[in-house]
Amino acid sequence: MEAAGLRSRVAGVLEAAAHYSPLGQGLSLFEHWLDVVSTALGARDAAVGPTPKEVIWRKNKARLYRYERKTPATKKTPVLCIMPLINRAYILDLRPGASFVAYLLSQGHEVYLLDWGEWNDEDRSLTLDALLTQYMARAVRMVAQRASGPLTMLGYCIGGAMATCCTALHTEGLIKNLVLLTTPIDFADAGPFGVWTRPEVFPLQELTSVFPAVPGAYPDIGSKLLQPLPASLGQFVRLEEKLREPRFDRYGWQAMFRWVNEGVAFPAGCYRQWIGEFYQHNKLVRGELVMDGRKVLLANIRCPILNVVASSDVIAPRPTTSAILQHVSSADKEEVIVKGGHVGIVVGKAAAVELWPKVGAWLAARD
Amino acid sequence: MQQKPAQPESKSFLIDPFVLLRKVYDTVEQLTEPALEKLLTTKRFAKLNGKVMSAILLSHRATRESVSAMLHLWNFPAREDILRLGELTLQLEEKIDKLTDRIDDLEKRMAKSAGGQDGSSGAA
Repeated sequence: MEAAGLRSRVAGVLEAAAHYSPLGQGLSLFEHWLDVVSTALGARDAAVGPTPKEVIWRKNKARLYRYERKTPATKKTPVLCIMPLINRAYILDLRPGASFVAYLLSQGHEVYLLDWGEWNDEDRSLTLDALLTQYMARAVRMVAQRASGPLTMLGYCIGGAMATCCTALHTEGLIKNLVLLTTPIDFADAGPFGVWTRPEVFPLQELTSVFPAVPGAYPDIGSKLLQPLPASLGQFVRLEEKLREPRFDRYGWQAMFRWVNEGVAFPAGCYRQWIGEFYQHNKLVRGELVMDGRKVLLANIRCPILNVVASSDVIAPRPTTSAILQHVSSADKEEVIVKGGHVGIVVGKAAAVELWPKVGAWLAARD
Repeated sequence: MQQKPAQPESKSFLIDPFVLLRKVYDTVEQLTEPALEKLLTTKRFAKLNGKVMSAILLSHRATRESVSAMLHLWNFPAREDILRLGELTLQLEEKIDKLTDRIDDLEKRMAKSAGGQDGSSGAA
């Protein structure tokens, strides 16, 4: 008993020494530093995309996924998500509790997602026209065929612009509703990206002739330049601070960090068209955009449309995202302004209580 | 990984370098960020950015062309040759997809016309 008591007293003294001595404090600081480094470096292996899914169609690198439901769908209109070309598709199904896809499934929808995959150099001649006619149109037909009826198309960022073009060109009535999340449409005042990509200063032709697929790092550097310090050193300073909080969601941070830094290459043909025709010449809202030999007229869009805009979006600022409703012919059109940034509104803490229920209720009313 | 409790700063013997770094960072960010963001959205910066990009791209092109010439000299396929092969494969895939679409379309039409014939014979 005495020996055990002595041992516990010695252990107590040692623990106290470790806690209060400079050496002990130094060790805890070192441990904390290791924690910061391992969290940041471990982000590349963060678990993402938790919802089970099956590939129902594939073409080149693109995959059309159907998310698995545990119960039969209670809504008749399926949702087809169109993702941006420069980012990974798992942002809509990031983690348990941060998955828009899981929310839509819980609301009784069948959910499909068109993942563009990782473009490579051999895709250099792919244009947005090709993506629209050879990929999106087929995906739309396939989903509509499986559902035996029209679908809701939900586009995010560039994916939203493509969904808009697809809806404007599709006259067969396969698209019942259109939901756009932070989608740039009018590039007359496109913020810093608009200034940097002006025809007289931006080497678009050189960039797309040197790189058959424009590396993901290029658009990524552009995004980081919008807030240079917070987007570079600042994120690690904040990580260090947050790691001291007992309730900090480390895995959530890692998943988000992984997504932000895991951009995919943009096929040169698509990039030339996106920057040249959308950013530089603003052809979509001017009614001058021609795809697959046909004019893309926003006035041809007559289906119900929900436009979700982020209040403090620096990537797609408000003037670019709010414009669509002025140009479409839909009688049923609505804009929702959600507090937050370009990505935060979709997967941030507020998404589950603000954005998702709004979209869910809007879709339910138009099922 | 288990979260460790924050160390009480009042009992520390050492200065916490992280707290110091955070304070320095916050001060620098507060002082420079607005000016930096303003500078980065100027036309002057856009012009400079374009010139830097052009210079980087020229160096990329020069390296790529040199490597390609060297590989061809040794009868090795260069990047461009492999790209062409990849493109041909993709074109083949698109042709197969178009054929599949046509077959699907024909099947639908045949099913429709067969259904129509059955209906008409039944009526007769």
